[in-house]
Amino acid sequence: MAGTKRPLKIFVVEDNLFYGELLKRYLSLNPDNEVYLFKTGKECLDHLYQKPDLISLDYGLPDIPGDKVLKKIKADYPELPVIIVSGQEDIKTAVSLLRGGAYDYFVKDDDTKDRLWNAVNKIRQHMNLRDELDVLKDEIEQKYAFRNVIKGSSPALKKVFALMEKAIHSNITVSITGETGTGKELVAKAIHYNSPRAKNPFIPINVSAIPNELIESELFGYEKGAFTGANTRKIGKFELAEGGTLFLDEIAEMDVNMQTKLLRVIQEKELTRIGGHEVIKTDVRLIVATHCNLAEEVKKGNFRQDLYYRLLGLPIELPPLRNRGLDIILLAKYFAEQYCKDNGLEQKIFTKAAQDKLMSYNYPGNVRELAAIVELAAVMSDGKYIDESHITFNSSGLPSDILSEEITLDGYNKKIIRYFLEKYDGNVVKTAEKLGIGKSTLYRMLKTKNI
Amino acid sequence: MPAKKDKLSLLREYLGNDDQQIKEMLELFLQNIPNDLNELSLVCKKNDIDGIQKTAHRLKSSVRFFGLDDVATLLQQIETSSKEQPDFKQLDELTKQINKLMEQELIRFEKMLSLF
Repeated sequence: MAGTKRPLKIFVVEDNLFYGELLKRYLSLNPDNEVYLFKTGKECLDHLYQKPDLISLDYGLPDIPGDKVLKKIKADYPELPVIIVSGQEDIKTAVSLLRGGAYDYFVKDDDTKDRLWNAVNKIRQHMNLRDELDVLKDEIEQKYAFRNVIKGSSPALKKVFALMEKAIHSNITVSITGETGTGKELVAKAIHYNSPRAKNPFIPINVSAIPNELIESELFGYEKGAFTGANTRKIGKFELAEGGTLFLDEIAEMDVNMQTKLLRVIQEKELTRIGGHEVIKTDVRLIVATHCNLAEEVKKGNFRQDLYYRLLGLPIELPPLRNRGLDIILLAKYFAEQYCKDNGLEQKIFTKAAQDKLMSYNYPGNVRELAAIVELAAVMSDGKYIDESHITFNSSGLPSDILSEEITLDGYNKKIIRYFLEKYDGNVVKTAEKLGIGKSTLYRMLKTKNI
Repeated sequence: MPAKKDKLSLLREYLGNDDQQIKEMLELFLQNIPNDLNELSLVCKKNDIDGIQKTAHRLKSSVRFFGLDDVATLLQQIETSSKEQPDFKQLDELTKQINKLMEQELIRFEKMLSLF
């Protein structure tokens, strides 16, 4: 859990038994410290496997000189803070030890007590922050374990899972396509956090949200004074994503001039900040996404063909929700469960009619829209059940690609009737009028077709 | 003896004003100092330069902690001369001086300990 504090394991290495015991007892005044005393450098080195968080090291040890002990510690544990406590002040030695990686250098005098306490507290704060960061990283990895991110078991989604597996185990560029709300960024994150690059940054950038004139500086950064207003150096997204993944969302919106610059960086694997001369090597995995058909954009001359082939890599097409069959119900149940959990509400159950209603809609906003519909339904429902009256569709709902689903004529009839009923607030007379059928016919259909 | 009182105050600060711990640390000091002094005399007699240097260095920390500056200065002299050109006669002389000074100091520490 983030914020849980573990004891700080401290090694005190001191050959003077009195002084060593004194430091041990002093540091033990904080019950969160776990202090161990060693009389020689060898004893300390032999116990490094116990992974101390910090070492207070006497410079004048009887067996191995302090600088050599420090060197050995740093060779195996470069991040381990070592405070040198010396019997006499020697600036030259102090500088050399600090250069050798010592965290600090104290002389044994009346100030040792406070200096040591402060240094230990500083290291504790740093350790706690590092621990919290590790926990958060683990949480993110867990959160983006891809079967936790993308829920469903439809054949369309299984194809996506198979492609994601391929993407995770390779370094290939991935191009994700799919309608808005299908979860393109989630897929990109899931690929990153399950790949060997997971410990390094995932940097998303939405190309369509950044004006053309700013995109180059966003991606590649700039040097101080590169242009009016460049008061400090700015590191671009490519550099920020070093060792990790850069996610370029809405790539089709990129200006053609910028496409040329991006192509060069991808080909050369190096960049130069705007106004700079230094050539910076990059090791970044690219994942791009678009809701457009990039091949069509190439045909229209809006997207460079060479860049298209560079970026295509492993294409993953996310299916629209309407093509995912019973995933709709699975997702609706998941969203309802999450919403109730987050808001301290009793868990809710979808009635059969509610499920049918959810299945009848075409979700132009895809998963994002379903989540919003379910949240609203959970709010509207007072009891344990969510029924069809709690479900409200805000967009047109009429399946624009109605024929994309292979359902029976009866099924189409139901969809059309539900659409018009929804549109006219359940007004049967108006609905019948719009459908060009009699009111009684509609009533009969509602009854017999269980709408 | 204000200087000694200061050092006891420092010991109190190090040990969170815990009388039992202060007592234990004074006992530890009184146990270790005679051993270390004996060892210093022994290595001096053996003309063991390395031993002299290390023992003098080790003793310095606790002696300095209690503000026994005269003794600490002598120990520093021993350490420095043993690193440079050791004059064993002089080293032996310095060790005797230290023993003499510490004899009196240890009596004071015994008295201090009896207060706990």
